[in-house]
Amino acid sequence: MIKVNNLFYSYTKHGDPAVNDISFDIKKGEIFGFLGPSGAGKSTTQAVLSGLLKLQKGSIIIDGIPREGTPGKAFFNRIGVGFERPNVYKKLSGYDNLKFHASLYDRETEDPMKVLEMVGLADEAKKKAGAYSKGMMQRLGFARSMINKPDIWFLDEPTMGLDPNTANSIKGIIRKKQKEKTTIFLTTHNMFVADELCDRVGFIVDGKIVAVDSPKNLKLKHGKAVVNIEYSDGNVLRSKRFEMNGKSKAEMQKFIGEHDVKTIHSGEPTLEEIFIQLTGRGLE
Amino acid sequence: MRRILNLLKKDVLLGIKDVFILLEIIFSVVIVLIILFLIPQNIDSEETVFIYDRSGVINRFTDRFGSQNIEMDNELFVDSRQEIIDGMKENKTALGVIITANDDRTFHVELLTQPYTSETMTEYLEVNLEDLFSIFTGTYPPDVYRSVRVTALQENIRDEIPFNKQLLPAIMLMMVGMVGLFAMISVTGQEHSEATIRAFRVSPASMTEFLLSKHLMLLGVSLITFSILYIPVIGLSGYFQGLLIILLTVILGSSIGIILSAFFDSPMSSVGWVLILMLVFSLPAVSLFAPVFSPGWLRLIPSYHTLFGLDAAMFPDNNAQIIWQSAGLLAGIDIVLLFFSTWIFRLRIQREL
Repeated sequence: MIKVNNLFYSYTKHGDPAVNDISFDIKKGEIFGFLGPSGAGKSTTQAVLSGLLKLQKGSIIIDGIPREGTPGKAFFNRIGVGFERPNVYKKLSGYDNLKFHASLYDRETEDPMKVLEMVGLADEAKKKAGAYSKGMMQRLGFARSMINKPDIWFLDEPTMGLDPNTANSIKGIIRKKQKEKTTIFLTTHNMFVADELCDRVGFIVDGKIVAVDSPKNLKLKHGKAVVNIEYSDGNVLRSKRFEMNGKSKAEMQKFIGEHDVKTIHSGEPTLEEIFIQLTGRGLE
Repeated sequence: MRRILNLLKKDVLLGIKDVFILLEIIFSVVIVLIILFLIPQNIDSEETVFIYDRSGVINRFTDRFGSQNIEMDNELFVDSRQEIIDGMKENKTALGVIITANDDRTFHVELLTQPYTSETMTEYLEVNLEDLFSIFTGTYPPDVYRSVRVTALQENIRDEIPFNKQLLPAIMLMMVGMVGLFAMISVTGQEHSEATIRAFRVSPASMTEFLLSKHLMLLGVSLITFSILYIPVIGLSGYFQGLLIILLTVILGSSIGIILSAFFDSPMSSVGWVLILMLVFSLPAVSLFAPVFSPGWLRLIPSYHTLFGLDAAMFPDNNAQIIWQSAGLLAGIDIVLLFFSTWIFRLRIQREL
């Protein structure tokens, strides 16, 4: 569906590029996560793909058609873009915001009220967006991005700043859209969101892609399975971690025999640990 | 077309909710009331002076030399101090002079001023009085005044047009014409600050449509405010010609506003440029009120043509060609500015994330 080859983007003529020679592809109906710390080049990549920024070097091929220059109306009719910062008219109501955006498209759009219901804002539909809380505005921005029933949906930190319940309902909408064959490009620095939602993820640091694979494969390839044991040491509860390999396994069996073991938990590495292992950098 | 109408609907709705349109209408109503009821129709720049001549020196002088040798157009002779005070209470720009003869054949002159009379004015009057008394006492001949009399060219040419109406072209320029400049910077600045322009850029609508809708909204507001100012003061005479000139000026102002907003993120950051432009655009008003001052460079400022075009539309005097010349020039500048401002705005915005 989307094929990106040797993409390059620089904001200055002679400075370090924000995105440097990256290549990846996204299949139809896939959720592709772009993970990296702030300033890694995630948003710039998304901006070039969504047509906000001009393609400087490299190629973007969508449905077999290479992009030339600035994308046209046909492309913008097909995409939805959710930004990290909500982009809403604060003086207009939530309903009027969506109604206005829907009026910009040449294709069938969602009913604004239905979308507001989906994001839990139906009761606040007639209220000025300026009177919304930050989380509500974030949800309105998210709702705006799907008003045109996009085939390709770009989402930048869709759950940032949301309470766990709302974040879960947003994740539910994203999964539902995936089932309807929407291709989703998601940028985040939240590994749990990526792990939960994405079919595949790309790790990006300093404008370069370090790894691309499914979260499961990344963990299998680069992570180590571990066992956490909690035991009693006199009156104190302590814990010890063992890797699940030959030598460590024998040590663990011996440890269990010699200690007053209270709990044993097997564990797999988190995506964040894999990211740190591969890039040498944290995500914040 | 459908998209432009939807954009326009949104811009008008935002204009109403921002109170911008309402404020424009209220200001226009206030200004028109000021023009009609507070600014006088005729303004005599020379203050009236009430004279109570207890010494009789002025009478003696006019009896001896004749009154033609001393010009007293704005002087009123009264018979008591109280009459001066009453007169000054009624005429807030009037002054008073009481002349008393001393025993040693000198005079005592008491100058009565208003609380707000400037020191410069008082000094000026003192010099004049000294001058006058040197004539009365014969220290220099009164004939000297006749030899330096100057008659200004074109004097009284606009006397038949009431003063309050004469102000209207300049008020229109600032209140209606230049609103495009402020308002365009403000409305595009708001789209920047709320980042709504980013959401717009990933929609199928074009930046040309985005700007065109804002131009149309400002033209609509200008049509309303122009009518509020024009019709009660002038009537319908020259209304459409004046409207044409003002709408062309609004397009000019809003195009410059677009250029500024392409370089500045918020209205506040461009305020210095706005003030400079306002100052430059107001300069041709000097030429309108003092036609003797009309250097060639002043005609290079587009507002010169707005002012003289409006003036010609409001006060017809076989000068219709000025209206069409001004409209033609403004339209020419508008076409260039419309294309340039759209191009530069699109170029700048493409580099923004």
